[in-house]
Amino acid sequence: MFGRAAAKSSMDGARRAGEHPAMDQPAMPLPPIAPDLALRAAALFEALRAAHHDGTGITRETYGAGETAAMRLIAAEAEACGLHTAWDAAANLRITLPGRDPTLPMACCGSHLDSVPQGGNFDGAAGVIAGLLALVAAQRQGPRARTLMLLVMRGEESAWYGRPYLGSSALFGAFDPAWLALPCLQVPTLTLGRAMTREGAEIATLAAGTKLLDPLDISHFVELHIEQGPVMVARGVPVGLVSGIRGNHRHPNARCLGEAAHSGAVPRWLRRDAVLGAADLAMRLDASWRVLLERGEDLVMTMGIFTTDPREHAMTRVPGELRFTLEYRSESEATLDDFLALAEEEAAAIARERRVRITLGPPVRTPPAVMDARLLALGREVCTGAGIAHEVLASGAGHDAAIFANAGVPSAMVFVRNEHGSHNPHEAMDMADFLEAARVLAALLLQGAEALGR
Amino acid sequence: MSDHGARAAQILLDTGAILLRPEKPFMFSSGWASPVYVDVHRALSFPMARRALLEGAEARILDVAGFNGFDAVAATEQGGVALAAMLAARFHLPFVTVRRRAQGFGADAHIEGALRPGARCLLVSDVTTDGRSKGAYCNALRRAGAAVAEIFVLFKYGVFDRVVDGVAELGAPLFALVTWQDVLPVAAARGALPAAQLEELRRYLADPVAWSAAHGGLAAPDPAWRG
Repeated sequence: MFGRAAAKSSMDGARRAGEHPAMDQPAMPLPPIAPDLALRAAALFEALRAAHHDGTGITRETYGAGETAAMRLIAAEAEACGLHTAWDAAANLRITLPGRDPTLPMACCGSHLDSVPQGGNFDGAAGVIAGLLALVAAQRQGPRARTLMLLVMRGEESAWYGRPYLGSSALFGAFDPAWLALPCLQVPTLTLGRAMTREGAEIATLAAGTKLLDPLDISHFVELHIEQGPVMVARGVPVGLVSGIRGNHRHPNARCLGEAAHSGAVPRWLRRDAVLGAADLAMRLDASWRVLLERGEDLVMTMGIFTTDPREHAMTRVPGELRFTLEYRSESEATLDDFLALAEEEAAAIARERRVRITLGPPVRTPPAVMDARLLALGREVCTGAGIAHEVLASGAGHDAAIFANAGVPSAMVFVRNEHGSHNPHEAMDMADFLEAARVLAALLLQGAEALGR
Repeated sequence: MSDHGARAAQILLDTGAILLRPEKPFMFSSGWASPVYVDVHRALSFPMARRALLEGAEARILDVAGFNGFDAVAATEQGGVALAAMLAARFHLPFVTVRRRAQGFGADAHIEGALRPGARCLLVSDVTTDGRSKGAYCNALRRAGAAVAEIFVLFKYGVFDRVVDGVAELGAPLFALVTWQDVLPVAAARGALPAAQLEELRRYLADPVAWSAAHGGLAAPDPAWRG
C-alpha cells in the first residue's frame, strides 16, 4: 500500500521541515510524516477495522485467525515496500530494514495486533502501523549502518488465556511451559499450546526456554500505544512520554472463612461471618488507599471478584465462606510490597476481631518497569524542538515494553491521546494525534541508540 | 487577612505543615490533584506553635462570634476533635463530637457526648476544602436539637469549583483563622518556600481546576458528586 513511488513527497516533507526550523532544534530535525504515508496509515487502520469488526467491536483473538490475518496484512504491506519479513518460533512477525553494519545492535520498535473480545481498533495496531511508517520513512532516506526492526508480537492481551505478553515473553526465554496447558477462556476445549501450534509457533523450542532474541543484540526498544486512561484527554495533550509502567500484585484465590450458621438463631457475638470479615478488609484497605493517594503515592486497588458460593449461599444463612480477588498496581515495587504487608496485617487483625480466617495466598507479581531516563529525555527534547505539546505520565496498563525493559533493553513508550479508554469499541484516536506521536516514535527509533551510546 | 492570620501562616510554614510537591501531586479523595497539602495536626504537635495557634483561634472566634455568640463547642469527628477540645477548655464550655457516620439510630446517632436542647454550637474543624462536608455535620447537630451558630476551621483551602461557606447553604457562617491569602504574602516575605514552588502554588491557586486537570486529577467537578 505504501509503495516506493512516493519518495518525492517524503523529500517535500523534509524540505518543509528544513525551511521552518523549530526554535529549540534537537540533534536531528523531526520530519513530518509524509502525506502519502499518512494516507496509507489511515487505509491500513480502515482495512484492519473492516476485517475484524464483529458487529459490536473489534475482535482479533490471541494466537487465532483474527490476530494472524492482521499480522499477514501488515507483512504483505511491509513486503510491498521492500522490507524483509520473517516469523520466529513464537510466530511473532519480524519486519526488518537491514543496515550496512550487522555488528551494530538493532534498533527495535513494536507492539501487538490481538485485541480483547469486542475491543477497539487502535489498541496495539497503532504501535505496529507507526513502526511501519518509521521503517518506510527511514528506507526512503537511504542506506544506514544500523538495522531497524519492527516486532509484531503475539498474545499481548490476557483476555484469551489469562496471561498477557505471551509473544514478548517468548522472545527472552521467559515463556513458562505451564502456559501451554492454559484453556482458552472463550473456548474451553482449546488450549494455548494447540492454538499456538495451529498458528505456526514451535512450542517445543519455547518450552525449552530458548531465547529468540538476545537483549544485547538490541540497542533499544520503543513502543507507541494509545493511552488507556483519561489523563491525556483531560490534560489536552496529543503526545505522552511514559516514565514507567505500573507493576502489580494479584491474589486470584483469596478467601475469607468463617462458619455457616442460622441467620436468626445465632447472636452477633457468636458469629463468624465471612462476608462481614471480607467487607471489613475491603473498607480498611480502601481507607489506607485514600491516605496513600493524599500522600502522593502511586497506587490503584481492585477487588474484582467478591462472592459467596451460589450453590450454598442463602438469605437466611450466615455466610461461612467468601471468595475474592485482590489486585493492586503501582509504579513502585516498594509500594506494592508495603501494601501487601498492610493487607496481611489487616487480614490478621480482622481474623482476631471477627473470628474468621482470611487467606490472601501468595501474590502473582508483575514487577513495575522503569522506562530509560535517557530515552525519556530524548523524547522531551524531540517534542520540544518540534513544538509538539506533550506530558510525561505513568502507564497504568501493562505493555510489551515492560518485558523489554525488565530483560535489560533500554526502553521508551510514546502514548497517543485516545478518548473513551481502551478494551472497548469506543476507542477514539485522532489521526492528527497519531501522526504527531508517530514522528516522535520514528525519532526515538533512529536517534535512541546514539543517545544511549550503544 | 488579619494579624492573627499572618501569625498562623508563619506557624504553619515554620513547622513544615505546608507540604509542596508539584512534581508528585497529592490526590484528594474527591479526585482533585493538588501541589500542596496542609497538615494542621503537624503544627499542633509543636508546643509553642500549638499555644500560639490556640491564642489566635480564640481571638479570631471572639472577633467574629462575639462574647455571647455560642454556648457549646462541637468537634467534627477525627480532624476537629483535638482542636475543639482545647478550645472548649479555653472557653469553659460544654464539648461534644459529631460523628461522620451514624452509629445506631435516633436523633443523637451522630453525637458523642451530652448536648443541652437548643444549645448554640460553635462547630470546629481542622481544615475545609470546599466546605460541603460541613453541611452534614451541621444537619446532624440540628437533628440532635441544637443550633449551629458559627463554623470555625483552622485552615480554609477555598479553591475548589464551588466553595460552600455561606449561611444560605450551611445555615451558619464559616470562617477560618488562616487562608491562602494569609500564607502567600508571609511565605514570600520570609522566603519560607523555594521561589519555584511558591510560583507553582500561585499558578495552582489562580486556576486550581486547570492545574488539577493538567496533573492527572479531575478536570471538572464530578457531576455525580452530591454535597
